[in-house]
Amino acid sequence: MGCMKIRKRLPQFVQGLLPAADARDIADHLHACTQCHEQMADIQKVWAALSELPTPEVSSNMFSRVLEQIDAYEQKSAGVRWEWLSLFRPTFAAAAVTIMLIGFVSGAFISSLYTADSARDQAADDPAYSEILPDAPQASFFDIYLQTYGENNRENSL
Amino acid sequence: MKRELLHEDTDETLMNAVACKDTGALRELMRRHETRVRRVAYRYTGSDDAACELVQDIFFKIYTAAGSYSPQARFTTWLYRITANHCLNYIRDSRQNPVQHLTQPIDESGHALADHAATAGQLESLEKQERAVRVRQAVDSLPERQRMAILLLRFEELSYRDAAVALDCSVSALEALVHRGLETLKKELSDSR
Repeated sequence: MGCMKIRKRLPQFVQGLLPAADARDIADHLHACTQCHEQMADIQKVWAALSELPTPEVSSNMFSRVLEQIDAYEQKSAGVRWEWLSLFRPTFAAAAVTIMLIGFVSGAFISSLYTADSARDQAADDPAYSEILPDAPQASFFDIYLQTYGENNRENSL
Repeated sequence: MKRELLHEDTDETLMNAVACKDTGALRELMRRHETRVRRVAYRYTGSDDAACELVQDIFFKIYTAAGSYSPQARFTTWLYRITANHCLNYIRDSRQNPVQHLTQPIDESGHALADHAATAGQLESLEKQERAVRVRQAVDSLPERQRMAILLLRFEELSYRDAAVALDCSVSALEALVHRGLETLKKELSDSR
């Protein structure tokens, strides 16, 4: 290892944080290199001086303070969510009513179509109407019904 | 159902619980790591009040950011990163004078207590305080990132890689920060003698 590489690792060497093999290499280099050795001595002085910095007092009751902050945060978040939703409340109600109406109307329409188709199929299978249907392929079930029963009723009434 | 074995859970397991808003898990994380966070904050700012405020903010941040924590990263590495960020922002935002409470103690009439010190014990204590003030001033003279890099290496004994992660920089950038920081400290401390 060259001097530059050694010097970069000196802070960790001084603290004994390097793997044994790396520390041995650096120690060997320091024996041979006066400049790097001086550099290490400087770092040792600075490191030792830093130990003059006081250590903090042991704290107490910090969790309860954090918990208070969390409670306030959660309440605020819940409030914001509710406010945000409440902005849309009339819109949601209108949308729900519209969807229900659309559903109801669609259901009624589909149901009437189904009933008409079934009646037409039933009528088509009946030989009594086989003569009428080819002549009036576009006629609806109700036209056929009126054409048939209406005339019969008229005859009966006569 | 509340879990019972919090003491045996790993930090990463506790973080998953915190992400589900389990404040009991947060309490256990604080029990394990509060001292570490407080140590960094106090040495960085030089103020006990600031350190308290930072500890509170950092653990609150852990609660709100727990969802973004990835268990692939060691919890302490992530914690140091949050701590470093908060400390750097704190100084930038407040621009407080962190050495205020560490300057030479004075009495009510404004005279330095050293002037009245009588016993050898008192003198020794005052000398120690003065040395601490000098070192504090030297540390405060460092640019913020250099200061944090030096403190993480010196007191937290982080590897260069972990310290680089904490400061969100490359290992070579960290080496440069440490090198420049040590040079400045060496100069400041020799000037103040």
